[in-house]
Amino acid sequence: MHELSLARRILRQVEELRNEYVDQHISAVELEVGLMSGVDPDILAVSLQDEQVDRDKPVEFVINVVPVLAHCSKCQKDFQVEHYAFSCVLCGSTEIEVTGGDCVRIMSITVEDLEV
Amino acid sequence: MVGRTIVVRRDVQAEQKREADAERELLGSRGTLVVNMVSSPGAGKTSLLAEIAQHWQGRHSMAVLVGDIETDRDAQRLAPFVPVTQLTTGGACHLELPLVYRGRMALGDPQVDFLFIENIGNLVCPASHDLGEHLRVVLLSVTDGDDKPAKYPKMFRTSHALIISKCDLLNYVPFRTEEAIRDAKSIQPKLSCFEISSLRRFGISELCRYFENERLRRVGSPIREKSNESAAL
Ligand SMILES: Nc1nc2c(ncn2[C@@H]2O[C@H](COP(=O)(O)OP(=O)(O)OP(=O)(O)O)[C@@H](O)[C@H]2O)c(=O)[nH]1
Ligand SMILES: [Mg+2]
Ligand SMILES: [Zn+2]
Repeated sequence: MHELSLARRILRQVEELRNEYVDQHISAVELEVGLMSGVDPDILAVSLQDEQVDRDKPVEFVINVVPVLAHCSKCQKDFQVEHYAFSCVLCGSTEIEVTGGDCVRIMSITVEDLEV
Repeated sequence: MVGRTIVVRRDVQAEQKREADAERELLGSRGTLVVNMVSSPGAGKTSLLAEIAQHWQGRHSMAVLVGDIETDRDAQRLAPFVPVTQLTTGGACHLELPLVYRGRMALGDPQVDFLFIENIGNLVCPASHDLGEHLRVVLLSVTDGDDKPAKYPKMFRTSHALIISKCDLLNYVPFRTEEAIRDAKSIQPKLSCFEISSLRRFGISELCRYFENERLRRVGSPIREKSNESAAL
């Protein structure tokens, strides 16, 4: 995928969040990278770092890679999809819905009061 | 200094997903089915589009936006058969929605039954870019090898149809059609599968019928007759 443009997009969104917490400093951002997102977490981490070199207080990014999760519509089992095998691990049904692991999300931010 | 953690849970690509949905919705509401055609380089996308255009000649209207890194050769090949615009990325290995939008405008924003987008030959990056299509179809040529679905799973996972191309060459290459289909279907059980040859012209009408049915199902309106279309302008 295109980790550099994604990194820029993420930093822009962090900037938007900064506007919501005006007298505070965003010190850390927790990201979730799904295994099926098409994003390489290591390249994303480097890109985020490179894009912030000029910043005096860079945001620390914590990247958690999450597996692909699915829900079986037939037997209601929630399970982890391994090796792109998209059928229920319990009943074998292919009527399943992917419930996670296919995107990149900002999960949380850590804010600190600005020193006065 | 102690920090306070605030839950956000925001998909960082939400905005692009909304834009692609809006495009899908808009073109669908006009009765245009948008098809994003992907494959490895040279699997036969342009050859197939020329066959589809000839098959539908005088029956259904279509237009093509054809992506390549360099040259307008594919547009030149298609121009005798169908309205076409070349999208040249100048290096990028996949198409993105803004370029597709500009191409559609350059073509005069055509009101057609089918808009085909030929993506850059690449089984990796196009999988992660929604172009506002209703259908994504992946070509796998028999000379690519039957192991490609398992090796490039996301491309097959995100596709609606698998078109096995160059089937006229099956006698010359060790391609196991059932294995390729079995692997692809374990990745995407809903895949519709087709076996075609653009060179020997087989499988094209079955594939075109699939597109016609999908158009009815997804876009909802019956195929416009050519006469109605010009009357509506
Ligand atoms: N034998 C055989 N050759 C084919 C068939 N379809 C296409 N070819 C040949 O395969 C080569 C590539 O075909 P194209 O239609 O240019 O493939 P493409 O996917 O558009 O290629 P790119 O746009 O460069 O990725 C050409 O030499 C075609 O003549 C087919 O059905 N059978
Ligand atoms: Mg081509
Ligand atoms: Zn089940």
